[in-house]
Amino acid sequence: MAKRFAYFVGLLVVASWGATARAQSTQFSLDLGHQWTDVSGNNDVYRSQVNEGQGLLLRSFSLTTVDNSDGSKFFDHLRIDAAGIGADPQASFRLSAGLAHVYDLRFSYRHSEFYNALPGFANPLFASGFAPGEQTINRALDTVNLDVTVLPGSAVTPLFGYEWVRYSGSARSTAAVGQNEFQLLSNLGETTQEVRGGIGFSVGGFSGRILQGWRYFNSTQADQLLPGAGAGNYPQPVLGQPVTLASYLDRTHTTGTTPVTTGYLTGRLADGVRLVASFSRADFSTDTSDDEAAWGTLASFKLSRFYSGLLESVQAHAESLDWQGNARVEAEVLDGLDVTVGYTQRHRDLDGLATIADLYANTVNFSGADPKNVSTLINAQDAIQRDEKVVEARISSNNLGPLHLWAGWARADQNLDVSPAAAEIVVPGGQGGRFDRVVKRTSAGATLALADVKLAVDWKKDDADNAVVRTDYLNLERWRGRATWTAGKFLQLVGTAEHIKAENPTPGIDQASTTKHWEGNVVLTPVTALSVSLGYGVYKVDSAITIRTPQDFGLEPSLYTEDGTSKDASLTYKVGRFGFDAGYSQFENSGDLALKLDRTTVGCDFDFTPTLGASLRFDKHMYREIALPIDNFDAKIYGVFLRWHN
Amino acid sequence: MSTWFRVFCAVSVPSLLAGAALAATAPAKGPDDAFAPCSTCHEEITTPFASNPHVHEAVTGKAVCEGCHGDATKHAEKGDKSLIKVPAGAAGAKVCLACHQRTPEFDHAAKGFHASASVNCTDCHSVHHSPATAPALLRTNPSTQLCESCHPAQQNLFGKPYAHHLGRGGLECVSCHNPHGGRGERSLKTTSAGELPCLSCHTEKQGPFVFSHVSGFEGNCLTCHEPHGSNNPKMLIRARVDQLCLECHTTLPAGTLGSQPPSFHDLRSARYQNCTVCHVAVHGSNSSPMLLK
Repeated sequence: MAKRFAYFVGLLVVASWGATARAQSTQFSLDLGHQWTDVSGNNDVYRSQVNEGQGLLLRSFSLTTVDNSDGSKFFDHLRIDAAGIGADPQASFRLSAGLAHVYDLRFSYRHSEFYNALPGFANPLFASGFAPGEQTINRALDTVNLDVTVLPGSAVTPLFGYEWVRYSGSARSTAAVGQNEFQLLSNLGETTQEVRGGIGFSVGGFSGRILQGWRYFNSTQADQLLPGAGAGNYPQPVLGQPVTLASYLDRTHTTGTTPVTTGYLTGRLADGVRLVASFSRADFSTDTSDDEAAWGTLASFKLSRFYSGLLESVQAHAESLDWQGNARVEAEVLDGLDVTVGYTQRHRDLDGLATIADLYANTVNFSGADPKNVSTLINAQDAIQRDEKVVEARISSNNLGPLHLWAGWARADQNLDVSPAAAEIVVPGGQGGRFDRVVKRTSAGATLALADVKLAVDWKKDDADNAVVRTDYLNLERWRGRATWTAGKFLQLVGTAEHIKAENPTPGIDQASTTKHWEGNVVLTPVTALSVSLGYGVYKVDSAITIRTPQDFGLEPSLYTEDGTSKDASLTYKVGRFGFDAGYSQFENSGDLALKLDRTTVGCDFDFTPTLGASLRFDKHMYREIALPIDNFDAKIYGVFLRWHN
Repeated sequence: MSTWFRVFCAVSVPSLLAGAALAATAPAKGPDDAFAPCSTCHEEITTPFASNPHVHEAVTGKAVCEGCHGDATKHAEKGDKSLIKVPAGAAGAKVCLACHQRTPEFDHAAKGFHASASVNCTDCHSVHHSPATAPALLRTNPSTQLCESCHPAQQNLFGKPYAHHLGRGGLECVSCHNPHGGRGERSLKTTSAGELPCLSCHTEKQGPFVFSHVSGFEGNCLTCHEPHGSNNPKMLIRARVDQLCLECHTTLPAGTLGSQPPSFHDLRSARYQNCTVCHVAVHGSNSSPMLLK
């Protein structure tokens, strides 16, 4: 990684030097250095939340150059941005280049590391002192994207694109086998590629584009028993026999293809009347083969037998068709009065078929008699179809000076058909059927822009006639407001408020939830060199819904609350070659999962010359959970960086 | 890693080296050629404007400035500010959109949330005074600072313990949102297949799965997750997984979708408070109707 990092930085430096050798219009900046971390407390929780590492780090790089010279050339504008390359688990690189009326190219790369290992999550053995939980992830995502436009600005513009996504790495998971759960080591390698091509056009007042893409998906996951985990989560015997695994292997391979068609059209139908239409269609298809082999002393309540081996083979095929079309007309019906009318239709269906063949080896019944191998064969078929039709209208004013008013209305008709696989049914009810729901939405809003004051308010209300899943609301009302006051460059005040109330009073569901969120920010700039910012926020959630506990089918309310407050302060000071910034933020929640989070950041910059400088950074994170102190951590991150810019 | 690196090198190295060589050898063209007569009085604007992308869009035979400011002849003769068009506010947005409103990305730019007297193009973009390192002529770099100046509440959600790492490694608000989009879900950048932006990165949850969690049809990622940030692990909307599951998986009353767990799921035992220990394929499975693998 260090070698690759050095090559990368070297490349950027060479490019910067080359591009600026005859600098007519080139801007670049580079921020490169080293950072160190010092973590005490729970390192897994630190990595799950922050995950900054130590080592070389290219914090940022930016280069923009424009070549206005006559004569032949490969590009007349070039821009490169890079960030987080090295010790940061999130890295990106973007390049855009082009030659007027010839081509336009955009290339991007992003690298993200996903780490998650928490003591209390997916951990049935937490009370016994086992940590972290049984589902952990240490994987990385790499994404490459390339888009090329040929002859930009012409009547017809060929378009090409390519995307490559790789998600891979290890994880810990679990398998439920033979009336016990066992911890697994899991390895995933998954690649998604998409090739696309099409044309853009601009003819006679209409413009648009048609793109055809093909997405290919290939995934292989291999799971094996975690060394030492053969006793399972529950060493208690089942009917006198311990349930253990001697070995476990599972390999799943999935391939998929998805042709994707998208179309877009916009243009003037008449003076002041604009048509916008779009269409997309994606035809997903996946094929999966899964082979599982488990050996040990196992039990099956379904067969009423003990057994010593399970061989499972699954062949599955799933198809899903998604399409949606949208058309709307925007018209200025009166001077300063706009009306928009639109219609959207969406369709999605799924057909899934799986053949699941199991061979239970060396079975005996619970009395120890009748030894034999038992095989089962399940053909499971699944189908879901969802259709939605949305009609909407919106009216807005645009000639009331600083005042802008709008109001909207929409109606969505949703239909869902679910045909569950027979194998899924364990307790009758709730697995399938036809569900219809109509949601009517009314909304309105206003903005006012005066010299120093900006006010905005918007409101929406949804009324539904039915709930498809229990957490669907029947009524929802949301208010949002924002106020900004600016006193020259000296002072800026921003306040926002949001209130959401949703409910479904149907007996047996009794759902009610409210969200309240206020924020206030003050930015003071007493002199150009100094800026001070203070913020305070309150975030409250109260939710209640009736649930039925499985063990006795009793009813009880499921209550969830958040009562969070956030405070933050920051200061920046820059004079001459010296710059200083500091920030502090605190977030505290006294609702469910009470916690406190403090973050401090301090940095200073100094330019030795007009183009060369250095910066020092220090970040501190302090995380405290009230109920689960094992999650707590303190982390300090130090960094020294060289800054080079023109 | 090696594959992406090869792809990256194949694209970027030739571009970079060619660009560097060209920039090093190309004769510079004086700004006066393109900006006359404006550069006579406004050199502080026209000189840095040479690296502005609008220079290339305005290659129409006219002076660059006239592309947005119109005919400057009278203004140049008399020096009267009222004789030159200065695009600003909602009216100024129309000047921008005359060229920019041709693609789906700008589909709602004229009637969307960021198109009013309060908020419009020049609140976020500065054609003349954008910092050199800022992309898309934004007023700040990174762009998240602009979003945060009006949306501090959303900014603070990213300050919760389990959150997307906003501002790091190129992850910005605009990674998922289209500021020129419409309201609600139309402000989201969907994948080429029209899926939520979540699936741009979390590709393993795309499916289709033979045994799909129906939330993929009736609902979406936001049914269970807070996209900006959450107090709860995995950015869930509930602190306990069994609580989240049971709020849908209770067959009471009849008529809603969501099966009831069988009675051996005794929630008094830690074993059954952790639904995803067994139901590991909670986003969908091709081999287990119960989403067990």
